[in-house]
Amino acid sequence: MCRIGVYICECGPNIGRTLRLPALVQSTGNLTGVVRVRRVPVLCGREGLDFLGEEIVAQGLDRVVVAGCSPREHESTFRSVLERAGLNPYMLQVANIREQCEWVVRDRDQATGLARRLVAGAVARVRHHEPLLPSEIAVSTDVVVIGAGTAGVRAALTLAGKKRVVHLVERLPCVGGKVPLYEDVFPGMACAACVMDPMLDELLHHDGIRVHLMSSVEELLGFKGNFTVRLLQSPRYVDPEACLGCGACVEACPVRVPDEWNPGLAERRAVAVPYPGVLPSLAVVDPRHCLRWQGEDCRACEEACPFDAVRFEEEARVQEIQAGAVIVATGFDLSDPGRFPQYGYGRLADVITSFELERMLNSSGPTGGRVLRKDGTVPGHAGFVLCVGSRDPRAAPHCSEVCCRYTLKFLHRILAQGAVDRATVFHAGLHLPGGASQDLYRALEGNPSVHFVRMGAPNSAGILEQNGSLAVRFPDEEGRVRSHLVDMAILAPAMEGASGNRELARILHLETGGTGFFDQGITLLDRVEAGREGVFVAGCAAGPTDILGAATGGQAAAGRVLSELVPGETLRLEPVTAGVDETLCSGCAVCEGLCPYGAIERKDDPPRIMVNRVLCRGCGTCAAACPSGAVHCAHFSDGQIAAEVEAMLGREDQGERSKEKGSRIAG
Amino acid sequence: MKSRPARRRPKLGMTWLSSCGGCEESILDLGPDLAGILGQVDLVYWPIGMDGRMEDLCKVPDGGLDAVLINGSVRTEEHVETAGLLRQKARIVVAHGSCAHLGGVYGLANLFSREAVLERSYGEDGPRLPRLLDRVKALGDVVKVDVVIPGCPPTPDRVREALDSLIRGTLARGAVLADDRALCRTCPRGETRRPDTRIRRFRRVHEATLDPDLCFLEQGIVCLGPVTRGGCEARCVRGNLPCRGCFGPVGEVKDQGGGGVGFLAALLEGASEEELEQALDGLADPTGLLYRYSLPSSLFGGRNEGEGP
Ligand SMILES: Cc1cc2nc3c(=O)[nH]c(=O)nc-3n(C[C@H](O)[C@H](O)[C@H](O)COP(=O)(O)OP(=O)(O)OC[C@H]3O[C@@H](n4cnc5c(N)ncnc54)[C@H](O)[C@@H]3O)c2cc1C
Ligand code: SF4
Ligand code: SF4
Repeated sequence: MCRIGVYICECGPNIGRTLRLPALVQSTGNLTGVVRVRRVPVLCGREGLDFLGEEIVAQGLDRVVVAGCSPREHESTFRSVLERAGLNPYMLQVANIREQCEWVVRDRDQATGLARRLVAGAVARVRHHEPLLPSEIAVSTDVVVIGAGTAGVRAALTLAGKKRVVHLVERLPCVGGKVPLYEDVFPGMACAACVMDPMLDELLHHDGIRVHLMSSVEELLGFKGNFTVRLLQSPRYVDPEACLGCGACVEACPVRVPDEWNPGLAERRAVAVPYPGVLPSLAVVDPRHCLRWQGEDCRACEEACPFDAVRFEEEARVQEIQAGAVIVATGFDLSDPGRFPQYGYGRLADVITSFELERMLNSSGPTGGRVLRKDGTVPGHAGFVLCVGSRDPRAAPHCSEVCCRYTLKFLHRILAQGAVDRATVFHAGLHLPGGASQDLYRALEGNPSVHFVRMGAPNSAGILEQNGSLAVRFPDEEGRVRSHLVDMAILAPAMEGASGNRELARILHLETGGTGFFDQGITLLDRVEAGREGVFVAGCAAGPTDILGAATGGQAAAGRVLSELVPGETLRLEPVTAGVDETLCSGCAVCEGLCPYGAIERKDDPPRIMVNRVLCRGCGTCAAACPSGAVHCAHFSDGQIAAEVEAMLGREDQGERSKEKGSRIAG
Repeated sequence: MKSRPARRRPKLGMTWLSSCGGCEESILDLGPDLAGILGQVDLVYWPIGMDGRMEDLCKVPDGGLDAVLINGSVRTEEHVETAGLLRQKARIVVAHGSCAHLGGVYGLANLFSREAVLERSYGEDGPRLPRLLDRVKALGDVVKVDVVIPGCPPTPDRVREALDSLIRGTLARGAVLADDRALCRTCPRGETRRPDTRIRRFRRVHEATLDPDLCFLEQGIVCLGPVTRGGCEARCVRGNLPCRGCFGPVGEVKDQGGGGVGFLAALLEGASEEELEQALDGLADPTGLLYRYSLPSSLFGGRNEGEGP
């Protein structure tokens, strides 16, 4: 026979104005198994908690019901009281007579009747409770960083500095993200390679960092401190240990395709060393274009390679990694200006993007640093069109933050090298935060070759061909349409989240905002929160920012991981998990695709299902769906639920009966 | 060595309550084996096959029958009496077929009141019948059942198994003469089910050209295999028809239709309320489909007001 104590909390002045507590005490005393009923002024206070602990011991209780506030508020507090008093913490049931009776029902009799039912349900249920034991596992302090741009690399190095094992996952065949492709960088006009190369070199030679190139995250299971990450690595078809990046293979390859590193500017081969100065300096075979995947037996690169580095037989590799945290640093992509036909991008030869100009200005780029029109001539007059898509609610509502500043950078560079005679900037208000970028601006003031022209609204310009030149047309602030002739137009397209972000969001169980950034967890005090415990976001993955912002974000995310995942700590695994009765499971697979935590594993021979206790969060989805009644969720057994429901419906004794009969509520 | 005493021929009774006769058929389905089996039992009471009168049955001493096979649902007060009397006379009561086991197809009458059923079937001046109960019941609702032979009708193998073990003296109480696991386990198409397939619209059998090798659920056809005990040799599935659940739910599952709702809901997919509604359009008569054999023994029992199951 159970010895149940029921403690009715008055919650200070909160419970008892509507509820008739004396009546509730009386009816509760008559319930099967109840040996003690007490009213307590404030059970969750120090005194109340001490009192509860003493009562459990003095009355020899084996189960406790607390009638008071929502279990969300204090269930765990009361559980620890039970534990300290020598009871299993799961021998507790909370009846919420505050939010569900006192606060919502006006009529005193009705409220009291309702409370009676809730308490009767709780008492009937607690009779069926069984002791459950939590288990513990060590946290993993390893970290997976997705994206090897400024932010990801900064995060990885910060973590590795504290001896954390870092897996840096990059989908490209090289590290560094966008910045190594630039010539100089604002605000100080430092050379991009000088800023990035030492950092990337340290990265590639760091013992604690495993760089997984050409890799993507395919699955993330588990939770903070205990993630399992599945990586898929595409083959490079070149042995990184043997290849020196000499390019002998490239020369030999007969295939020519547009070069995505230099869009609109150059061609590349099917085997390529991505761009001059790339790190690591390695060739990569592109199976989308290589003749061998077209059914031809070309071996030109293999034969040309002086180091025997080509490996056509390489295959994709799947790898599972244990990690305690994930940092998402997937950066940005520039949106396609072709989306707005009025700019003529893709149609008019000399309408290019800022990134294309960046490649032209690069001294080791396709034009050797020269700014050229498509016909090979030098443009006399360059026009910079800002806010292409940005700050337009119908396109990208946000400000892309860096366009105004990189335009100043461009102006300094092209004027310094005399690349153009004249430049006009079409802007809708310049965004130049910080002293250093103001300096950049001031240095251009009064320069007769540079004009700043204000448009009436962002994303309002259009470009037409006019007598071999380009006419940039836009309404000014008064609404008058103005037109300026230029020889080349450089568009500043809106930044948006990296192209794979939506798919990645699905895999990581995160949300992206409308423009594809992982910006949904960000608050005024926290720019690295991704919206899921143990997962952080850094750099442009969280929204547009500059190099400094990306680096700072990487460091901040690393800092959060260092403070939240401490070596030697353990994770307590809740015992409320599902389990499968193998003698009942038919292997119908209904449950398998349902688990939101990927905790259900299929075993063959015989076909059946197993629940991975470490991954299971006890949500009960599988148990509800299993048509064989083969899945049971601890602490939510059919017997417990049926007993509670039946007692609430006033059929208290049937709780026992239904346990014997193994009664099961629908499904 | 002492030779074992020759086993006494077990005394057997068989009867039907509210029944279509299919379960009696299932005895005849034993075919050539039937004669052998009948030779090894002492068939005391079998109204459909012999002259069986209540008075004769009353004369049998209590516990005088080794076993009785009762098929059909419990519909009238007379059925309750008959079942009670047989319970008294027999050491082992066998619920024979879905109607006795779960209430059966007749149980769908529980969607209507007793009066409505009488009115609809017989109109004003109906025949004189034993008084109808408020609702159809399973045999287990009125007497203790020891053994279940599930099926509508039971397959010959299951009936043979029951009679053989009766003859050998090994018919154990508490047995359900079928598999412990759902049909999917032994279904010849079981392997073709993919865990991530979702159903965007249910189709009815006549609306589809059925792939004879692919799991019905993969084809958007409701199959109750996941929620039904195996042991029928997947006869319907082998005949390219989906399982309709006649063997009843597995083990602890009390409500077969509820289990069906649960797992079908889990497989449904739709982006909006409307899409889900559309998916359900192909599910004609869900109660009749999901509770075809088991409404009286479900948690809900039926829609009519009557005493609970
Ligand atoms: C034209 C132009 C000029 C600029 N000039 C300057 C400047 O002068 N000074 C300045 O401060 N800022 C400048 N910026 C901004 C600067 O480029 C960014 O601040 C910086 O690149 C942000 O770094 P990041 O690491 O967040 O992103 P990125 O540099 O975009 O790096 C992200 C990395 O993640 C990888 N990745 C993406 N998705 C996945 C995935 N699913 N799985 C694995 N890997 C993935 C990408 O391949 C990439 O390597 C400029 C921007 C533009 C467009
Ligand atoms: S094998 Fe492929 S990559 Fe190598 S040279 Fe031939 S086409 Fe180019
Ligand atoms: S739903 Fe139940 S019977 Fe089907 S595979 Fe999962 S555990 Fe097994």
